[in-house]
Amino acid sequence: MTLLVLSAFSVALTLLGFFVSVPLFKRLTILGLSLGLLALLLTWGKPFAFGPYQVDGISQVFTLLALLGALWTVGLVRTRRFEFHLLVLYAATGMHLLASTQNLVLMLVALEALSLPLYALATWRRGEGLEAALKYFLLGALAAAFFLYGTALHYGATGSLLAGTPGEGPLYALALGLLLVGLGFKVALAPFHFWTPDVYQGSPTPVVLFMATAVKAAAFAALLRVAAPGVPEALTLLIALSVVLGNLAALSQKEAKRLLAYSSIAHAGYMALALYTGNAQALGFYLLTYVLATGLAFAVLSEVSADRVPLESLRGLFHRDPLLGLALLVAALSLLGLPPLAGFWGKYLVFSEAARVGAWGVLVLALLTSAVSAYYYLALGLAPFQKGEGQAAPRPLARGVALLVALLLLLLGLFPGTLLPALAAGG
Amino acid sequence: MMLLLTILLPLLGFALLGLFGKRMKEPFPGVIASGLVLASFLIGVGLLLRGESHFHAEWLPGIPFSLLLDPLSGFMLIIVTGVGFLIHVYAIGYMHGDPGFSRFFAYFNFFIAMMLTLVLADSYPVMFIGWEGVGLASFLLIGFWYKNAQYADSARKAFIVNRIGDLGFMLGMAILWALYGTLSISELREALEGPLKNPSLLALAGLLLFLGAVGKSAQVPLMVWLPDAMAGPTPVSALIHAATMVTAGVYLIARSSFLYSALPDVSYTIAVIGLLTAFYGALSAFGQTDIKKIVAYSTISQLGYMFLAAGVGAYWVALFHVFTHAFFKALLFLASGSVIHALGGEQDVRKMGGLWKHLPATRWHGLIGALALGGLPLLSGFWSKDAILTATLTHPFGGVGFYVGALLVAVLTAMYAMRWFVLVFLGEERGHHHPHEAPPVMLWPNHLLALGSLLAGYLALPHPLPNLLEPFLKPTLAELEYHHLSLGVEWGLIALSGAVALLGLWLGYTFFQRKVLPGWYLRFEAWSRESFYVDQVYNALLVNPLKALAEALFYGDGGLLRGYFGLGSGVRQVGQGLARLQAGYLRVYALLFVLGVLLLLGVMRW
Amino acid sequence: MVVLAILLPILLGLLLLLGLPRWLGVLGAGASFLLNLYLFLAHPGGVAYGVKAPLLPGAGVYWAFGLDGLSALFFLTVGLTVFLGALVAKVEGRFLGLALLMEGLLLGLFAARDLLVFYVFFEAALIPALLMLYFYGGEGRLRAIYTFLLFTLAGSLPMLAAILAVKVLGGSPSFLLEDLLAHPVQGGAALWVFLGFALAFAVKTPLFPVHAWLPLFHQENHPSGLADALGTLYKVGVFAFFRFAIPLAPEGFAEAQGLLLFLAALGAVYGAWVAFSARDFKTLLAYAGVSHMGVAALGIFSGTPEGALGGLYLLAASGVYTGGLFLLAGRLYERLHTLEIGRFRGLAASAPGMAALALFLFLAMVGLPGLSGFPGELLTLLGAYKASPWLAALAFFSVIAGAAYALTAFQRTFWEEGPKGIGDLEGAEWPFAALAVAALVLMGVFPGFFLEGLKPLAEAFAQLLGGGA
Repeated sequence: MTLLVLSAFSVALTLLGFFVSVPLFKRLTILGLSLGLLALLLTWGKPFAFGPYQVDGISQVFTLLALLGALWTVGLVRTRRFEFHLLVLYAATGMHLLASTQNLVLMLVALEALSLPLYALATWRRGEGLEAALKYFLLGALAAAFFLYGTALHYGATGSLLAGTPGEGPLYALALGLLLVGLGFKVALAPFHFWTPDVYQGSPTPVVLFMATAVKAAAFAALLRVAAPGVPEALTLLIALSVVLGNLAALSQKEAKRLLAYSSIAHAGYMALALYTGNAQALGFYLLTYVLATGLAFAVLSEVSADRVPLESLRGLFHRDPLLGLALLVAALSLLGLPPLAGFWGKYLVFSEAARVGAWGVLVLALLTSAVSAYYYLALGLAPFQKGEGQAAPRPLARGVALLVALLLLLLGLFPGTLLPALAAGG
Repeated sequence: MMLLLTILLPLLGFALLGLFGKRMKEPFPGVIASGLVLASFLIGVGLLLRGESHFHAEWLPGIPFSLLLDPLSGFMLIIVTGVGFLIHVYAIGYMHGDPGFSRFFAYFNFFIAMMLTLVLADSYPVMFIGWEGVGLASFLLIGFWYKNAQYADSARKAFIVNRIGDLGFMLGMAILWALYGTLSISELREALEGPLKNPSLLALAGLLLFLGAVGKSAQVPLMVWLPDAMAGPTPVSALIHAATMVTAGVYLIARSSFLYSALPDVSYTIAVIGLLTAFYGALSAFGQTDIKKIVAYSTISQLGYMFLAAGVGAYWVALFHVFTHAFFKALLFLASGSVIHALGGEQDVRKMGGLWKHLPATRWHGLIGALALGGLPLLSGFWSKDAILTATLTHPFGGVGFYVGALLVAVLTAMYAMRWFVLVFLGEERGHHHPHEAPPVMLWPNHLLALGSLLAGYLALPHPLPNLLEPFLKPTLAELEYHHLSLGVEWGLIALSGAVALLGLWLGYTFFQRKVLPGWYLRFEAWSRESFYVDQVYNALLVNPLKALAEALFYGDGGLLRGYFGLGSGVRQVGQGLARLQAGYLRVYALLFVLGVLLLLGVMRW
Repeated sequence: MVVLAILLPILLGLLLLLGLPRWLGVLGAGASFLLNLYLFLAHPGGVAYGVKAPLLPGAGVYWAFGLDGLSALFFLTVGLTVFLGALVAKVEGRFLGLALLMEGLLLGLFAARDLLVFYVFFEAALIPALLMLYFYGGEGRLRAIYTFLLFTLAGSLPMLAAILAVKVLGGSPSFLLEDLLAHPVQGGAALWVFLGFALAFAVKTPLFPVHAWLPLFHQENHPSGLADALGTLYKVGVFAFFRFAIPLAPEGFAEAQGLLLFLAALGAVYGAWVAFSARDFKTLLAYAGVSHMGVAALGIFSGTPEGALGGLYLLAASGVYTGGLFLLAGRLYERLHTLEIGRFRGLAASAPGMAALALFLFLAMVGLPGLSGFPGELLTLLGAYKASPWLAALAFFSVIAGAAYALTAFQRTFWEEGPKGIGDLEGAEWPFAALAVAALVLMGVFPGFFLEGLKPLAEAFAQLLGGGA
């Protein structure tokens, strides 16, 4: 159903794009994404399969998150060219597909389907953006190659293309490792994260929002399926590298987007903790809070500038627009995982997964580095309150959304139990 | 409940005067305060006549608030409220016109309440309430004229030095608690009958409690606060720093006699400390030029006597001396106060002299006080001092050494007592004042105290004459076997001490009348004036190093914080290094990517 | 009822943040105090007024609150101290709002019967504390904020691992305290779990040497002292050791006991000693706090019933007197525009009421019998001596150093000859003084009344550790 809506709109809008005005096109895109969401919610909890395309709990939860991210991106962007919206729509379709299959080949296809529009979106701003996008593209190709190779080995080891097929032997392990590399690249796990800071900094802020939220959601859905049987040692390595590198490197960042890029690496590490047990509920909740919080942060940043956002330029934002300033603080504190904000429960859930399997070492490392992260989150969150000339020309709608999301972060923090069962579908 | 009232009445006075005293006109605060103390006295005596009485209330878990009025505490209660009342009355005159008149009496009443808590307590923590409470009262009263920085310093010094002793008191309690699970004095007394559980630890507890007494009673080595405490108004010196508070240490030993009588080594230590203090106080008194400081050092010396008595095991004798001393020392202080009052605040004995002519009543007070202190036979001081001398020979922890030492101190005491009297009242007038005698409200208490100084000693005359005090106190004190001297020896010793006292008095009288004093004496006097440089030594060896260490630690603590900052910036630097990996070169990224893959595959379990 | 008591200040605080006038906040703080007083007085023993609602279904997390004797006592002192602050601290409505918000969070922390909920409140209280420091702090506040935040989180985040471990390793079905207590962590992991808790609570005690954030925190906070008073109440480490860390991993505690006793004793002396060199009131009080909390922690770590009672009572009492002193320093600041000790002297002449109040507070702080500091100190000593005579003796050298710094500060401020006079207590400062003194005296004279509800807890605590009465 969702796939139908999304692909139908993709096709239709590709054709329409040349005939309707950009604002109308934007509305249509939003309509398409919303309808996709609606379709998703209508079929919530009801599995559905059509060949390798399987809509199950994981698919629904992570598609929901991806679509939310996509919607937000489209709503936020200010562009005079319709292609932007179209590319987002394409990517969203790819994401849904990625989240909704166990078939490794289809996964690869979906992966490419969502990646190619992203490469294009990353070049939206010429110059620096172009160079970053090129790196993204080339490294992405490398990762895809690993993924492909992994797929082949997987087939060789188990005789199946279905992710999650149990198997054994070095060949099988190698296959899983390579699949992990391919997807780890997409979610920006260290040491496959190198594209992230450059691309985040070089791309328009709404695009970054899209990458940080929707792409992560979709790729983690695939990771859940692939890594479910587990390669715990490899996972531990990736997590440890991610949380250390992400959090420590973020400390010295002076530019907000780059800072958040490193933060997203660290968060990818935290999220990966849920992969030990493959608990979709925990991961889903984490992603939800992460999408909301990091989305909120980027949304605020994009109201300041679509370009680079040095931390100094945020100064005084609170005095110019209290709502945005507070929203950024709330987002930063939620990312830090301070109760009573939603981010805390996300952290709690994924950490308890790691605890369940007894991965204490990496758990403590993750917690320690997240204490370090307080430094830069606070720098980000408090910047709007300092004296300075914050530049922002927010639109009412953006402010409304910011308020809504900030409240949501708080409410989810106070009553995480209300939403959690709904996410349990895939668990 | 009535028992509690003896404490509550003066406490009420404190609250009333503290809150509303400012609005009262002189002399009302003084009258109220004195009246309340008198009421306490009367209630206390009334209760005592009816026998023992108790008060018991919940306080801390395992530690009730219990009071006990028995002969021992009753005896102290009488001294505290009786002498206290007289000094209250005196103070109405002495403090006349002081802007802090009502505040003074508020503090004074507070002191009485705390002192009564101290003596009536039937458990060490309750005694500690009074113990610290009187310390606070002493602090407030020494610093009564707080505008003078030196006085304020003295007050603080008194409190801090006392706290050293209090730490000992607290640790002593901790040991007793750990050993017996109770801090009630009656219960401990029962528990200690029979074989001791852990004698060496118990001895430590005894020593620590004694450390408390050393602080409170200004014994060597914690005696340095008492001379400075003379910064307070003279009635304070009389009440707190002579008659009552400073004897609390002696009372503590007596109250704990069941403990100390079982600890010969500790008792010996107490006696030695007492004798040392007696010497130190006596020698230091010679060089003083402040009229009150002479008396203060004599107090230290006399307290040493009391500890000597308590140390050798003659607890009732120590209390006997507490009793007589309360009279003659309060008298000496109040007479000094009258002199100061007469001279408009002058305290330097070098600017006095010849006051015999001008102060017809006070001169007799001074003379009686000095003679009683000097141990003139038949005055109160003679009887109690003689009892101490005898006790050093008869009691189990005593010895001839103690006797000889105490006798020597007796000579010195008589001499400096005469020095005081001669310098103040005799010779020519050295000041330019117009002395005037004190008003009746100040004279009458002194009359009574003088009477006490003359007669208090007859409460306990040597064998075979009647001794009322010993049988009265006996049931509350530990019983120690001691041998009686034969009548001849005993009276021989009495004669000896009387002769010694007379000799000392005569020597003092003639020696200090001289115009020119010999060179060796002047050198000695210079040392004595500085109290043998104990303060300076303490400052150099203890106070200043501790202060310096505090400074050093203060900066060190800043350094600790900087250390943490350093750790933080170290982490940051590592982060910067990691961020530098992000060089922007694709080939580097690709290389690291592949290395990462290899690493990943490397850690996997094959 | 408990929920109401927690929510009242939180909601009021939020409303004040939205612009409610200040006097309503003062009124609200008073109402909160009265409510807490009622809860304390009407406390029937055991765990009263319990409520429980699922928070995270499946994970065994519950919004579970209830008051035992210990929580009730802290409800009382927190309510009182905040009310005292609301009475006299001349701050704008929003500041008061943050303070009330924080009060509510602290109450939640004390009432929590679920480990994770405790953690939530423990961490959440950080936010208003940071905001107060940020918006109303001094010049160097950023540094103070980072220091405070990083110290706190460096402790509390690893604690999250310990929290998870307690449940997973102990095998408890939920995070409810009673479930966890029934399934303590055993074996080699117990030490690590305990250390996880210990670090977080040591920072919040604060124990030497992780106390370093505290002086900076106080120095940079608003001179009114309101934030400092709340900060003092936030030092819940001693409470948390008693309530959670030690009972949940007693074996781990047993292994670390020696070190902890040593650190506590060292901190007690060290803090008092350093306080002597402090140049201003806030630094002085900060180090004094280090010293007192060292003593209180010593009581808890002794593992004896007396020690535990003493430590907890000292903690409760110190909230009031240290908070009161911070507020008093704020009153002085308003009159003199400095917190430096000894800059102005002789204030007793012109402000005898204030001098008397200061003396009461200082004396309570140095543990004068009859005032609120003493019962805790004495019981701690009695308990600590049983655990370690030498360390107890070392720690109690702080009573000497305490007298030195407290009386020196008092003398240099109120005694001696000063260049100018100031106004005495006025207006709301009178009820402030009366209430504070009443609390000090009542807590000092009738400690049995306040400790009644704690006794069974302390007994159970000691029993758990094999001590017992």
